[in-house]
Amino acid sequence: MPPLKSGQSFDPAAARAELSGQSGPVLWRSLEELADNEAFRQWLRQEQPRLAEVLGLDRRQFLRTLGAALALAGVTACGRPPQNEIIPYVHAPVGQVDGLPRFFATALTRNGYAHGVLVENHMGRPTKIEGNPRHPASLGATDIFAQAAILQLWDPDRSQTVRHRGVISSWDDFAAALLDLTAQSGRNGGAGMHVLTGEVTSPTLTAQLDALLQKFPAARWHLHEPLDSGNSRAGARMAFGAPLSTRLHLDRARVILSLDDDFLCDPAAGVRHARDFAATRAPEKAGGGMSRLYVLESTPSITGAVADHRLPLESARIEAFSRALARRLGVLEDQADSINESAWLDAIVSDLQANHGHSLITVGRSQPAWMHAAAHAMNAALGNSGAVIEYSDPVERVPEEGASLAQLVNAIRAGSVDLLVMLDVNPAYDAPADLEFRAALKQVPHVVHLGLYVDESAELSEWHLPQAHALETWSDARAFDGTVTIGQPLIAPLYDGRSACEVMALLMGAEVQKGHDLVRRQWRAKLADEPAWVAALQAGLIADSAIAVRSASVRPDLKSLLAPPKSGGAPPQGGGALSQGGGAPPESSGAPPQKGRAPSQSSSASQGGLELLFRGDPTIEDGRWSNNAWLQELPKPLTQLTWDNAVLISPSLAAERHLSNGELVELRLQGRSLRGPVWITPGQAARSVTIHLGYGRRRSGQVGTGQGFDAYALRSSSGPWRSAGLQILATGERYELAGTQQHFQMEGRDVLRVGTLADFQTNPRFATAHDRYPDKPPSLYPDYPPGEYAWGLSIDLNACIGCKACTIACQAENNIPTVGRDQVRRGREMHWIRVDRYYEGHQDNPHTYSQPVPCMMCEHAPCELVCPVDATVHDSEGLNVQIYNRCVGTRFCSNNCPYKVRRFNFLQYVQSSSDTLLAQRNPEVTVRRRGVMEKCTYCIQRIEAAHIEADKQDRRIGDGEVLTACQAVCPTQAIVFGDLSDGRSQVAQAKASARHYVMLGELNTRPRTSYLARVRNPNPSLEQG
Amino acid sequence: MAQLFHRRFGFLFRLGLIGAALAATTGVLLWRASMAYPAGVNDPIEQPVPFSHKHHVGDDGIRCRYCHSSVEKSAFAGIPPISTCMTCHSQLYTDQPVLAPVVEAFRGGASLRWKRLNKLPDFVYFNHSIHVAKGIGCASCHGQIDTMPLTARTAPLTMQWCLDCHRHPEQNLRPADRVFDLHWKAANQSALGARLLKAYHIDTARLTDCSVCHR
Amino acid sequence: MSASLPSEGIEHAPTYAAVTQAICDIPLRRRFGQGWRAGFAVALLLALLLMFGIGWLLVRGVGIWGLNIPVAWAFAIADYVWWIAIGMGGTFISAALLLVRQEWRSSLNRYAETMTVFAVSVSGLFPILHLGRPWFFYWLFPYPDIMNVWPQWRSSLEWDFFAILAYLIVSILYWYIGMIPDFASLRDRAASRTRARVYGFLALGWRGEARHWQRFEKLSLILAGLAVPLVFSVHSMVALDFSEGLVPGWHSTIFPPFFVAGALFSGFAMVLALGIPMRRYLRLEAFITSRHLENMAKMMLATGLVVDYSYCSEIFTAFYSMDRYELAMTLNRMGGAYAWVFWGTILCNVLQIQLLWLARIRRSPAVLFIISVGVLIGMWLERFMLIVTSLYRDYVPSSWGMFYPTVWDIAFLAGSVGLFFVLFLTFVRVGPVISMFELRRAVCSPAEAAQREPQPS
Repeated sequence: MPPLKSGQSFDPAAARAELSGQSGPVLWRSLEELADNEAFRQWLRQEQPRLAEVLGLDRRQFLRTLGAALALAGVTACGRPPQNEIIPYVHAPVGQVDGLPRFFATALTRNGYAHGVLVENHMGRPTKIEGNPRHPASLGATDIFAQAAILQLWDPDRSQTVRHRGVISSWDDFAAALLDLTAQSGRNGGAGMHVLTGEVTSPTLTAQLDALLQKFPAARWHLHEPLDSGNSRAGARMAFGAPLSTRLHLDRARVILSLDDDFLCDPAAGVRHARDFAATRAPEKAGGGMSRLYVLESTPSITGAVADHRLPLESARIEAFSRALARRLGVLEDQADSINESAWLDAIVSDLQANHGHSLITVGRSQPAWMHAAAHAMNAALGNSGAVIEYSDPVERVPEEGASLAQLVNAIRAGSVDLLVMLDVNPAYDAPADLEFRAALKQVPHVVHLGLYVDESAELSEWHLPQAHALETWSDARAFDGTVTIGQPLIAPLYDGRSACEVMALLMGAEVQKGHDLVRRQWRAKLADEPAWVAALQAGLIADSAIAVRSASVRPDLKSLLAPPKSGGAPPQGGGALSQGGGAPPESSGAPPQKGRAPSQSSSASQGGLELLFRGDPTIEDGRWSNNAWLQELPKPLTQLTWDNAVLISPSLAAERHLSNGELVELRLQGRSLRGPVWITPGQAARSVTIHLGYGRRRSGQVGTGQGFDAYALRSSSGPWRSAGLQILATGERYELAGTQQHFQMEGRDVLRVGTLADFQTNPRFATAHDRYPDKPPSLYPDYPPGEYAWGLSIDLNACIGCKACTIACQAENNIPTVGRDQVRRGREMHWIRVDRYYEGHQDNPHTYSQPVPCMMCEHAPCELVCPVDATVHDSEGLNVQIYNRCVGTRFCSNNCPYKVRRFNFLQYVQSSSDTLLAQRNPEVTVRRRGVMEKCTYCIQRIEAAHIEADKQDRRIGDGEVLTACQAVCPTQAIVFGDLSDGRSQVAQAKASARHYVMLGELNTRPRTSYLARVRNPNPSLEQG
Repeated sequence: MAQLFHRRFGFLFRLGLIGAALAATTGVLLWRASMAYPAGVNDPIEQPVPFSHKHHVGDDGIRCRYCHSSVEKSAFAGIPPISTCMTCHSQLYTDQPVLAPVVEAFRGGASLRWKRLNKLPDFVYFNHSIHVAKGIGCASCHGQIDTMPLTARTAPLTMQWCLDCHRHPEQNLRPADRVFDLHWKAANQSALGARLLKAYHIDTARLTDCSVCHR
Repeated sequence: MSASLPSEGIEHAPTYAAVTQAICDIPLRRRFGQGWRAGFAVALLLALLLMFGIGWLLVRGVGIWGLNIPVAWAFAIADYVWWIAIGMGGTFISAALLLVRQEWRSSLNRYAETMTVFAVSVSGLFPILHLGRPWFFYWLFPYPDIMNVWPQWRSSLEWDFFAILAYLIVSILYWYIGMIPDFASLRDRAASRTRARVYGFLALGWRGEARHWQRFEKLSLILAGLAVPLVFSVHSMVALDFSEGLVPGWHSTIFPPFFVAGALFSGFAMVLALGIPMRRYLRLEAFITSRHLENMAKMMLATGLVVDYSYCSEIFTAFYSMDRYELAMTLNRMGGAYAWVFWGTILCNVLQIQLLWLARIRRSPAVLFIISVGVLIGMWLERFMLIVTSLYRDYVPSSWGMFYPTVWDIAFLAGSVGLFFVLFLTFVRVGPVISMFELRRAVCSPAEAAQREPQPS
């Protein structure tokens, strides 16, 4: 691969984009001279027209290109040194040392909530994202989406130009057109002007929205978030009379009951929850201070997988159960309608009451508002409020009551919408089917759409505006606790994009237009002086900007609100309260008859009726990530499927209907139908069928378009999370799903070791109790002489929640290619660290275990022995290194690896087609080519970097100075890496744990990677049940 | 019946065999010879500006690090930005035609495009800073660059060449204060080298690990 | 077998001249009709398919095959082992039987050696093509390069490389040297001058002087002496390619002898499979008699029984060791997804060859032909079973995975067969398919034979 040369390598679209564009915001103010140097631009036009086009007037792309030319990692090309050039800066950027990466703090948002990150920047190219240790929602870790964001930034399919009715246009033209439109509607107070956004926490944007609604009183702001938390908002209103935000302190909980709440994947605070939860799971703690987690859920989730007790129940029956629970905890008074899970109820209730003030009941966003309200009441009754669960004024801003998508559609139907501005939303794809939004959208005279991609909504819009990526713009956002992070750009917009704030400014015809100025102005008060502003940027957050916790008391009349449904319906008041949910989809904001189904559903479910559940896809969420190859190929945490969604059904249903994996079925619901492949999911509630949203995109990009089936086609605004009365019809056709794991039983092989807390307390060394050689087996061969360091890695299976962040972080760090659905089907995925999943017990409700498997770095490595060319060898610090440029590809090493962690480039997987993707690569890691074996290296590039720094200063590498990519990203800190020869190092101490064991120890491979056994903390009274 | 072959045929045939054998051997040897030392050692390439290290370093005595400023911090020694050239040349020889490209670049024209002399394959990760820190002199790889009117590569940069030093670093170690001295010679290198090896805490076992250069 | 066999073998013992004439007529005068042409055409097409496949492989990479992780070896390696094993039979017949003075071999050894050379050449393709980066195959060769790195001598693949190389060289030499006198006879009988020149060139000026014969005898003995140990070394080496690994089903000390036996087994099968149609087509019944076939059949049965014994001991050890992984692997072979391969192997290599106990079967060429083809198929299946059913379910259940061949896997197998036959049919057309000078020696009366050379006791 030739080094990225001076920008000739950008596609025409980008070029056109840049022609019409003006310079992006300033990141390095130190560089301004260069930018403002008119002569420089002159030359670009004369000497290098093509280059000039590409660079536009923006210097940082020029620098980025130079950076690439200097530092871009290449493909293994042997022989004599190629002739190429060094292009020096005209003025070197201040603070940059050529060849050394720099880190900048910023924030990425999920459902509007900020996740603090540090972005690694190589000579102007953002290449990797890490968590920001100082940020409350991150604490140094990230979720899979933050990792994938870097690929999204460089995605060549991103929208690159302003489009007017599909024809390339310019911002100036748009501004002009907008002026007329706003002028018209301005006259009558903005009537007919509607703005549609996702969930918003950004102070700047909310301020702008307020200003807009002030300037144009008749304008309306609507909220549309396909996977919104309207139910919980409505629940809070119901319970407290005010839309309070809840804040969980899982680290203070001893007993947790999750009612269909996947809190470990919560879009706002999932990462933090994981860290706090893991803190309560260490059995070593004195007195076995281990929390106990009960999960009731319909479809397997990560949270369910780590539960000590998991009860699969149809969504409707969970509601019935909660009713009974609320009754038992005295929150609800009505005549008991019986439930079958009384044993569970007794156990849970006694456990909750036994831990008064240290327990927690959480409710999933897919459950109706009344359950959230009831949960607040129950937590109050259990004395958890203020301790384990806290409340604050709302963190996110929602429009006034009922300004949901449904209301927008009504308005359109009424012909009262003249100008619709859609900011970073894609309702033409992800609106509930019954709204027929696409049809409605065509009735709107003027539609403006701002988005990262030219998507379904862009197609139907008069104006499409390319959105600048979060790493390209100035912005701000609040974390789950209200802490504000100023988002700063890492690079000038690659294409002609702008941020939502900038478009809002345009909409209002404000004099301030630039993102930087908008955000700066917003914080003029709090961050008055420059040092404060810079400090906030460097820290990645504004100090003590969190929203204060306040006491909240459940309104006394809640009981009557939650009073038993007359004629088996949900309380109308409940519905009423819900309708104030703001942006809550009409199930929660709505029609009592629908709510009324709850009990009847439960009965119908038990009688054999099927319910259909809608969930966000584990890796591409509501579809916004569908063009991200890393996320597409990341095995879904519980099914291990890639590149597709599937119809998840329970084993019992499969048996009843004689369905097998991959069989295409037709789903019929309320007169609509859909075809998809079946995936039999152990632990799925018997009568529940789950489909994941986000697939079946009609217009996404090279990667995402046309993958899987579109679950929105069955989603209705009356039942956005679940609908009863589903019919399944077998079609007899088949579809081959691409999974990375074929076999989920452990076959009695103790690769993954589990015990109960009781086992642990009787014998802490239970994990190795049955090993023939609990320590090292004897060997005929001498050990390698000890090196300066002895690198080792330990994985705590008790902390691991199987979220797969490690897999994707590794992919980002080590330039690991994606191979596509077909190659995954053939078993050729390239992930260096995989997360295996095993089931134990009965398939209707098995225990589910996750096990990350990187290279074991064996001291007696079977792979080294069989390589004829010495391409995989031991280094003096105990690493088993793979030398790509020496590898001829016999593949014997892979055959001989008992852990099967080696990956082979069967074909040319690394795509050099897109130069922007090229620029994403980590220059410190060789890009592997066809015919070469590769595998986990313990991030040797990071080890070497630290080594060189330490050696220069003539000191030892400190403990924790080297973090592997998987370790750094791990939300629960399950992975620990370090020097084993130093007894005080974290990893040495982890390995000293009684739960320590090595995989396949009997083979005497002496792995440097080892595990800490998992410990469950079951409730004795339920263990047999 | 007449002879099938000329009576010398046998002799000629043997001769041919020997000839073929010789040809093959020489062919292989030539190929090896051509590969052994990549072209371009000791022959300067034409650069956009005929920059003379001899003049700048030898005559004017400008220190290496004045231009190659990141040599102690980074893997990449650093190529001076045009602004560095202009610290002097805004005053000196500003009107010289040879300097035109530099001035032009500074005025906002094209930055220079130096031809790269020392280039390693992309799978080799060389780091200047650690070599300098551990007492490897500039001259060890770049030669007496202060005597070069036009710069040329002096080292073959083959793996063999790298290994020679990584196996026996003591042969090239210098005191820290002599690293940038292009003409320093040790009185007794073997003794000094052995001593410095300890002083710098160089782990020779590790120097030949593949992972030191390949990642 | 008694040395009196040849004269019995060859009825109405003909004269030297008659023998020479009969054999020489094949390349010199015989017309090769439809049958040969058709066969050659088919073989050529398949060979072309192989060439195209190789081109595609070099363009796209080994990914065109069905390989994956965990099954990173499959068809190509099976083909390789299969072909090189076939080669063994030929060398064994010509060299080993020469050393033990089995005169009757003289009517088989020439085409057996030919088969060896071509089979080994074909097999040699696979290890190279099987590399991820075939163009670097020479890195397995220890030469002083500018990287200062050497091959890794603990790897059996490294030794395998040398084993194949040595074996190929020796068998080519042995084959060619053996043909020199016959080329001379062809030269002397060639009608056209150009043919005479060509054969004359190949004959390296052989004039049949006593000195020539004396050197010739010595050289062929030396080469035979070299070839025989190679027969065993090469296949022991191939066996180590597997038994060096710790994959359950590979990690087994019995492999070297087991592989050698298997090699001879398939080698003899191929000799029969080639000999029976050839003898019919070229009217060589007088030279390749039913006694020859019967002897071959007996040897095939003998080696086959050794192979069967190894199967049993493999299974026995699995149960005897009670090693969790060995046991799982064995049961998996018998009952798993690839059980049909296992039972197919048993059918071909264990059951059907038991027919060879019956003299009637051994004497019927047609049945023999079918059986030996069955054995060839069986031996390929065995290699496939050995490689794939060991790999597809090894230690960690999460990484178990199936192997499905692609069209290219099949194409390379078929193509290699095609290439082999292109070479072999060409040789039949232009070369001395039976070693005339040895046959001449063999067909003279037993009494003389008895006088000329003492019997091996």
